[in-house]
Amino acid sequence: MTIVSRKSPAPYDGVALVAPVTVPYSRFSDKGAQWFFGKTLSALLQSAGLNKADVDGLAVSSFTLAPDSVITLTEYFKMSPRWIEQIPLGGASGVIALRRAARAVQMGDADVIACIGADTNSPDGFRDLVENFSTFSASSAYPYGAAGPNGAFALITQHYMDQFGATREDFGEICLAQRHNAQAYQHALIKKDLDQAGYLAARPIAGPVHMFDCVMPCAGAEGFLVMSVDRARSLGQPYVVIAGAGELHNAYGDDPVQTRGGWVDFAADMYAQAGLGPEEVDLLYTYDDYPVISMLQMEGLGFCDQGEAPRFVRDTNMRYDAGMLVHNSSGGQLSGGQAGSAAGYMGVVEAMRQLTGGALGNQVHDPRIALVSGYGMVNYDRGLCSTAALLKKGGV
Amino acid sequence: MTDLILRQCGACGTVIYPRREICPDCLSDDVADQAVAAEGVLLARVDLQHSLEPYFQDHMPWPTGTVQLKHGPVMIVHLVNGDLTTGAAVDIQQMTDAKGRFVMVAAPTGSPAFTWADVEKGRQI
Repeated sequence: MTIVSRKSPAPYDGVALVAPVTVPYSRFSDKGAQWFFGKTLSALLQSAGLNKADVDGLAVSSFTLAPDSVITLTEYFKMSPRWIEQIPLGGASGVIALRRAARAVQMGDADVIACIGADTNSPDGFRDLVENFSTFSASSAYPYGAAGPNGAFALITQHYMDQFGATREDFGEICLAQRHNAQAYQHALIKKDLDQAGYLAARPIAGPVHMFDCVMPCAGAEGFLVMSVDRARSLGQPYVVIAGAGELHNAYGDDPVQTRGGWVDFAADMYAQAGLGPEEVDLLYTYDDYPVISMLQMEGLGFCDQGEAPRFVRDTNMRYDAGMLVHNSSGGQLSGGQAGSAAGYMGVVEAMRQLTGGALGNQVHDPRIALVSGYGMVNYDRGLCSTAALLKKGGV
Repeated sequence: MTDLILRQCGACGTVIYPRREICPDCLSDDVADQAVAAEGVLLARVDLQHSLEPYFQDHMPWPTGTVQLKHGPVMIVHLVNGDLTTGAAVDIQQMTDAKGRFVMVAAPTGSPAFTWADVEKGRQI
């Protein structure tokens, strides 16, 4: 496919992200997804000093809300928004929500938009989700061992190791740094000490993928507000601005096994829009459903060349208190748990906390620039969504 | 080796997998089952040690792989022979698994015929 000319996207001027909120995760919950949405909404209002009636836009993501949806939530919470959006895109949902909401605020379609990813989790919830995830998955992936995402990502991981010489120890670098970060972060679910020997000795799950390469499904929620910078200032709220962003889906679909995503295509435009480069990023948030996927994002977003991420993670101390490039400062999903669609909002929310000085126990020293990347939706043998946004500290 | 029966586009010839009612290349709905050469190359393989289903849990480790067919499509497959390594030439056989699902199983090129029982028992063939 040849793209003859592509118009550059307009800047995200005048848009503020406000009030990062995390509803603490739990392994299982007997509450419905609606409860998690309600708790998030309530916390967003309290944090920003707003009333429910001030929120005239609502964007939601959830795997466990069905058969309810964004519109049923408006009645559930007695809201009357003039802009609604539902983004069922898993790990890409948070960045996509902020992009959609930013444009709506710029165009005047809404003034204050609540963006929320929320999911509950029951003991059988994960298997049910995996078995019926998509038609391709049900017909052509699930029957091959019913391994869920572990199966598809084990094949991607093994292929990456075969192609580029990555070792389990390299994946361990990512997991160990995130465990260190999780130990400092108030809401992380998994804080037990982990060293390289313990990582390598973990229970095997699928090929090279072992216990600590896998995320633990859980219940929880993440959310933030999108509004104008003027509104954020009038509320006296610290805020974050969007310096650049991009997304590209089902990119490089002819690669027989996934070794890259859409970031490779749009990263240069995103950095140009922001007037920034990867060397200026203080905080990197990748969607870490498996460490190899974090590596694909590091490569695609220009931190190193394709196949060089193993060296990059060996040479970079990614811990929140090490003074280098901080990666997934709250421990990510690998140590924080994967609360369904909330996992796709986790990086945005944590980046906002860090940039506004509001981290929960794991504050990085004076960060200015964060890059949040999203990835998601394994329809068959790979994740289809790629997205990213460069966030900057705004005024107060 | 018996050919595979897969969807093929009558308009552009694309071999379609996973199954679709519309050709992903030219968007024609002139798609029908056709005999397609069962030859492919193993691109990646792993042994599963964990499954969400009791049947597979009872038969661990369970070898699976990614195969690219000579005619293009990429398939996730069961492996009948646990010794298969990446890059190996394989033939694909369609068969019914223990739950009655129609599935693809890869074996080294030139292997004798085998059954689901061979797959289940992890037999070398």
